[in-house]
Amino acid sequence: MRRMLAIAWKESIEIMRDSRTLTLAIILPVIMILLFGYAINMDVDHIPVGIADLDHSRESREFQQKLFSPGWLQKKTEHTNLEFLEKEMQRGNIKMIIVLPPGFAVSLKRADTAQVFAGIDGSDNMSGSMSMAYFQTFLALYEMRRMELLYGIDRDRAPGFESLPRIFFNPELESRYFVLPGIIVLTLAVLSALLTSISIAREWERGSMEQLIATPVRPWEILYGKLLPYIGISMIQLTLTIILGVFLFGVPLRGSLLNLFLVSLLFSVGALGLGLLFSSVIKVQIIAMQVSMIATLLPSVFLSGFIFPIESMTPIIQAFTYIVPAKYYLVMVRTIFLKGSGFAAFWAEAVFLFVFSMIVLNAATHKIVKRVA
Amino acid sequence: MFRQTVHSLVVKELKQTMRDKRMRFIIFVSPIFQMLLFGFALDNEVKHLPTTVYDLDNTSASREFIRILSEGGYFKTTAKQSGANDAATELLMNRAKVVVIIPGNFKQKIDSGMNSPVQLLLDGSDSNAALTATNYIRQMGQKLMTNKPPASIELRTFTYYNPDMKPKFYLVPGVFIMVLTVITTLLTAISIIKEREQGTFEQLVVSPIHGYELMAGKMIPFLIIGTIDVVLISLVAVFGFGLPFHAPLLPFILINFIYVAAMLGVGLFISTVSKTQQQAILSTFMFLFPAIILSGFMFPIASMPEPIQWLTYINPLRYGIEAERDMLLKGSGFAELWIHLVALFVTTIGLIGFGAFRFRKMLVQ
Repeated sequence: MRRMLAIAWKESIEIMRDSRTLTLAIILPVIMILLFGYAINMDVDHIPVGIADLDHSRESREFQQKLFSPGWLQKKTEHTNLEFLEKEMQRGNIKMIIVLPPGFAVSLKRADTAQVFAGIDGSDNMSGSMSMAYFQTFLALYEMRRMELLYGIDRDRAPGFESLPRIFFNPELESRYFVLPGIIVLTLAVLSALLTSISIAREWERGSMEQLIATPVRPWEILYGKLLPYIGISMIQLTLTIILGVFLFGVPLRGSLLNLFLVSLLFSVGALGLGLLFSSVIKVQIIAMQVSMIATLLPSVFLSGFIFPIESMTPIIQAFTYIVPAKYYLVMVRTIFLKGSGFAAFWAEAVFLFVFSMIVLNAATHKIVKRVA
Repeated sequence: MFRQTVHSLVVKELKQTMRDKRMRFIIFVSPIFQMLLFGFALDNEVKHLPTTVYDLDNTSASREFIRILSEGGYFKTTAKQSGANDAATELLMNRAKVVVIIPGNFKQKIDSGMNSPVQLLLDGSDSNAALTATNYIRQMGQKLMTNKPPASIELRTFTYYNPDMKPKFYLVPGVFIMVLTVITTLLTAISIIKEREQGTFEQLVVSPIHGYELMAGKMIPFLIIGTIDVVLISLVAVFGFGLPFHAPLLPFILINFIYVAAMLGVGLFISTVSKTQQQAILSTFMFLFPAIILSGFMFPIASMPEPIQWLTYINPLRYGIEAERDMLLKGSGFAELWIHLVALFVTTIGLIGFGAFRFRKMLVQ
């Protein structure tokens, strides 16, 4: 224990010496939260649309006015030539084309079926499908309003079923509440692995590892001693990001702060341990860092459930997500922040993360032992 | 003389990079592996949502309702006959993201031609899933309306460039750029630092090699490696995922080449402003992470606040992704993408210029 603390102290001095790296490590999560808390909005807003109003009637103008006034879809171009609009779409200036054909008003008045044409840019996932979904909802509401006006149809009497949605935890569906915990997790996941990935490789490169091993220090004491100061850094990063998220961006923290810190501790052990594992296996600083970046950055963004739902992935890929520690932490952080539930809600994630951390740390220790022999 | 010096520097750098088995793995195998992994993984459609259905009616009508609900693959339903009072607990305990409560008089009401309300409880902490689930169920309701009034508006839809609206088609070009970006920046960001830390930089400086020769000798090998990666990744995109290759060849080659050069510029920039490898790698992260998030791949740029939208104009990833999608799916060429080409070109020249300037200063010191 005393030897472990000595290693920890030595590592701390080593970290302090490069004050610029330490500052970067602490400031980076803050920058990310500030930038993305402000920048990110998953709602459809101002999607540029080109419209061809071939009817030129009072009804079609009214339709346009109703469609564009909320500002979700934004009229960018109006032109009667469809080819012109298609050119605009190819250039990427508009994401959606809406055509109101001639006779639109007449069919509406005669209570025939009026046709509306809508085309979206299928090369852009975000704008395309979201604007189409919005347009469909708009049409349904538009129709309902007309029905009520024309026939006085009472919605409650219409046969069939009606869904009464009630949204829990985030009734306004504020995407920031969904995204910000994710940003905290991703930043910590990558930074942790990057920071520790050099720590053991450095000793090997300098040749000081042999000296360390010649002392009565045991491999696990080296490893856990090196882990300790970085856990300290992680906790500082986490505290800063939580303060910003809650007080600046108003993300509700409904669960217990203690639970949040407990799971964060667990996560940082796992994420830092991953860096230590790369470091002790690869033993060359540069390569260990590059591997850490490749193994954590894109996998954490894509396979953690940050944006892309894990449930939609094929079973083989889903199995792959089990080795992405950010996945477990993300579930726990979102649950603690927004739902306020305790360990009963995420004990499985906690166990998985614990097992992950233990495997990673043991493998790293084992690697040091084997190298000595 | 120039050619010979640069040539030997290039050979030295290539040898140094390639001689390590792990480096060869990072350069050639990891892009292919990542491309395959993410290409297969990503699907922004919300599917298989864990759903608990409290069927308090337990009649043929309610069972039919559940059957239709489970049909499209969007909801993975678990039916329960009682305990609806604890419905919210299902969400609280992460057992379900959607809870549907079918009331006891469901069949009776529908049979008598009335509207039967179905209660829907959604987990707003996953705002994306909650929104999508509401839309799915609303559409289902419209389909199930037994006695629909005649539709007054019929919507006819068409999806340009991707008629079947396959998610792979718009996601894979994005993954293409992400994987390429990470690998190219990562390689160059530490290339000069490495020499400085190992002390070989001084040796290079005192040798009769000019600064620009040294620069060229550092850049060309990574340009070669980056280009090979472009080819590998394109092959996976087209043959692995069946992406249409509508791209005119010359613009495709030129734009990708300039994109790789721009990323080398970023790496060079980082390498010349950092003092240690660790600083360089953290700076790389400081560039990569925002560049990925603000590229328009995951969050629509049009919805961002205006100052952030301006910021995306200097994000090479934005141009890269747009250009890649437009070339592969729309078949766009120089006529449509000249802005992207110019933007990437200016980025490259600017960054390499600045890098060269810092580099000269390093040589003098």
